Amino acid sequence: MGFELKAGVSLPELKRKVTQADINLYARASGDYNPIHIDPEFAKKTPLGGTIAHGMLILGYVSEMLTGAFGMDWLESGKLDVRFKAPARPENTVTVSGKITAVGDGNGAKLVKIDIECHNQNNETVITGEASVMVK
Amino acid sequence: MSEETKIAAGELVVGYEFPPASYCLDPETVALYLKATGGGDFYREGKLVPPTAIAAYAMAGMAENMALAEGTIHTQQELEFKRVVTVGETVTCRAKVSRNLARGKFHFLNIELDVRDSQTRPVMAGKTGFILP
Repeated sequence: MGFELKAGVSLPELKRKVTQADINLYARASGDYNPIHIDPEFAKKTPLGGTIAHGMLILGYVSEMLTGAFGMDWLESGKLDVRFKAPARPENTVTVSGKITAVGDGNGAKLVKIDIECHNQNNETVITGEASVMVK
Repeated sequence: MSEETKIAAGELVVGYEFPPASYCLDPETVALYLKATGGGDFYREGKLVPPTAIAAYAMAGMAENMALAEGTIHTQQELEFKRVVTVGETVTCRAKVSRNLARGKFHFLNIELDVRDSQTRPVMAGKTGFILP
């Protein structure tokens, strides 16, 4: 673990550029072919004005960041509770960040609570929420 | 299920259980997910399935049976990971409506997810929140 396990510590960030190709691939992977994600002509006529990434694709980035930070502990005991605040669009660069808010003891492990935020290159919030993990 | 035979999300009653959906998390399926989300060396090395991939498949199973109107917004997601799944395992996803409430201009729909492995051990639980138009 390349960071100290205490409140106030920021986890290593993860940055991903969202592309329409990734969104199309995610549609194939997840089976979610909603045209708002994959059909630019359709999406242009909606209030969103263009295609947007699946919220779950961006949540995949969040989990990737937490897997990088906590490894198997995240996969075995991770909890996430997030709100989707704004869509991520093709060519956006999304930064996933996390800050430890509390470290407590529980069942021989440490219960770590983390504030999560994803924002785009314009500093608009895409996702906010909380995560927790039992670190052995 | 065709679009015509899907249940309109706004008409789902609290307690309604979607038909369970089982998926084999074969190498091609997982590789496609990892390619879409980028990164993933930790998963590839351990032949592990990203938990958010399982959540995505659980939601896809739910969407097979539910018609979400244009303008529906996925507003909230809770996930709780309980067991690591390796590539090649089969999981079964169950989904149940826990809230369907119109309040003022907003219509809230919450669906709870429960994913288990082939020995019925819990793999993942979650809650998905939508605002319907």
